[in-house]
Amino acid sequence: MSAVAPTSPGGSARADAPALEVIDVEVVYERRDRDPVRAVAGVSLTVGRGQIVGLVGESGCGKSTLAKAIVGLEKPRSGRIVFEGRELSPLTRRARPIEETRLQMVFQNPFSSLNPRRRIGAQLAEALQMAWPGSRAGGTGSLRERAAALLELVGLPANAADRYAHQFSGGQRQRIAIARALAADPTVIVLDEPLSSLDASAQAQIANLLVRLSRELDLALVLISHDLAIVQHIVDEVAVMYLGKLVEQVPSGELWELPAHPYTEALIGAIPRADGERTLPVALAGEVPDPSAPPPGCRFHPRCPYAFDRCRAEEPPPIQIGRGREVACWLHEPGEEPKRPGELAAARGGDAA
Amino acid sequence: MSALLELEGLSIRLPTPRGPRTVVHEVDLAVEAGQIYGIAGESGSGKTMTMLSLLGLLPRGGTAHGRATFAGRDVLGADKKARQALRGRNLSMVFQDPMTSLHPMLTVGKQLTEHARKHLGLSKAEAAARAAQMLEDVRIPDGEAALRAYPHEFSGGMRQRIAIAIALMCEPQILIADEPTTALDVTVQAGILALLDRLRREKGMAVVLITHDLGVMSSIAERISVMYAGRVIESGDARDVLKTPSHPYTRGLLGSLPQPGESAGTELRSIPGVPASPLDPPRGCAFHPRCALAVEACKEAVPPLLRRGDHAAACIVTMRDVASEEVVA
Repeated sequence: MSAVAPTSPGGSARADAPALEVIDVEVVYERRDRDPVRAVAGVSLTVGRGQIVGLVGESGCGKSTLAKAIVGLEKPRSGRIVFEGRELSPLTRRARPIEETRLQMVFQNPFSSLNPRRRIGAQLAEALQMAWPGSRAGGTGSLRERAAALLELVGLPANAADRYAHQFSGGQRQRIAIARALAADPTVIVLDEPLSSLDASAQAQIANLLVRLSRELDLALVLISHDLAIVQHIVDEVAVMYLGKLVEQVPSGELWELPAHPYTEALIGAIPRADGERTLPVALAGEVPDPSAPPPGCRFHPRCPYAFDRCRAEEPPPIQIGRGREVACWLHEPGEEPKRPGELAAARGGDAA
Repeated sequence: MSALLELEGLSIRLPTPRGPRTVVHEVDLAVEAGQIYGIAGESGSGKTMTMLSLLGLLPRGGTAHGRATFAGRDVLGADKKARQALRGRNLSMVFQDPMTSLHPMLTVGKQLTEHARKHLGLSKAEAAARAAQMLEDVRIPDGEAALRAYPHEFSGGMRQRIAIAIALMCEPQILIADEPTTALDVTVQAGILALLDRLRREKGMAVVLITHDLGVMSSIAERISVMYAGRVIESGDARDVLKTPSHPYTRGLLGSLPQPGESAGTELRSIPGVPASPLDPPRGCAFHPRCALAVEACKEAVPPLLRRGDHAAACIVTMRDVASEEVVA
């Protein structure tokens, strides 16, 4: 594999390294005459090769900022982004080292990321020309043939290459944006709200496509979304973010039955069910606080129904619970089996304030 | 009980580069006071256009045909003045993106009180007191300060709640809400749905809720119409439509939703193909190219809405048992 692992200033790729490691990353926006905003306040996250990780949270929680920091569009104040064992160099006006182009990003609105005046085929060909020569996508055949192969991979006919972005539906445009990202033969794609501008039937199609691509191409995905219902369906692991920090990391299979953090539980309770029962979803009290002045102690405590004295004074660190789960909440003890927050709060009994 | 808002055979024609096209066909619906009526459908299905026609807000050159009445009075034929009187006092509208309806250069207080003073004849002080109360109702903290602030000083969710507060200032008898929570987080959405439901119960306000989100629909709507390619293809009691959907399109939409708690990693069912363009729909039933149940006859003629009791669906296959009894127009 030495031929496909060129060295760079950040070190060389390790075959055994995870696809992506986010290590204690902090992104701060300085503002004139006002307090700086710590949009991402120290986040660590590991994405294994071929793994799909969902990053969920309300708007303003910092998930899109973290996505941008991962691909280099925001400069972290501290922490490291390690891609295939190699620390990423910050994005500058110069071209990125070509091996780093195997980390790709797909944005929310494909209509604004695709060029309206160029044929789809030309846009794909351009992306293919910039791809890493050692990659699968850099393989044999003419650019046109390779563009057609990319379109087929995302479920579009080859003649889509001759058309323009406006001639496609929202779902088809998202397929094209994904095809363009695939041109670089990525090992990781970060997708920021790839489903939220789509109708229900197109959402399901794109969600299924992402799962299939991940499995077929051994492609790791970081899926940023505010829609927990669809995310838990397609990802292997969910990371829940609140006010710049991760509050819980959980395999998606356990999420629904056993949310460990009160915030995760509230997010699940707020999802309306299409069961015809006319039951109102449960609203979460209060507002997301101002990220430039986060509450002391646990950031979630002012909105948490189970908060007690310690939550108001000390910030809970992330701890391991169950198998491969992490939660940052004082209700839990390290190493114990995960339990629902309500159950733990009831067991605390008199302690709860 | 006679309906507050009634549409009968409402059709809309729009000019297109290829000549005028009918984009909404013969929509019937009746909304009663204190009722939340859901109109579901994907983008381009004609649900927004139908409601814009009631407000006289169709795109230039667009025309509405058929009948629409509000409390027995004709809406479509009303002149500009009569329409203006109708908007605000009786009928108001909230859109998906609050920044399109909020004025960026005016304080929230000004925008809240302007219409109330005009339509309700309130004094400045009365209008301000009412505005502060309204902000409290939509759970905007620190109402006094909020009145002096500008829209950009609020988060997206708060802006939408302010837009809703403005729409509710004149206590409309009916609120037309077009995807009011689509851009919001579920936590904020839950609060707005609870508010709409409370206003319905306490003030008897009717709501026409336009949304593609069947979960939202299910949580507060009493009746539902589902639109596809400019036609109502299914309507009935919300519980019936969601629990026993009769049109293959409605079934497909419900099937494509992630089921809470369904084991992760199972493939989502999806409707094949893409939504039909209302400008150039397929012949016959517009859904037939995407429909697993389609038969030859589906390609021939547009199916009528067939009724089984209170529940209607425009499908000659799933409603075969009642198809023969109907007089096909």
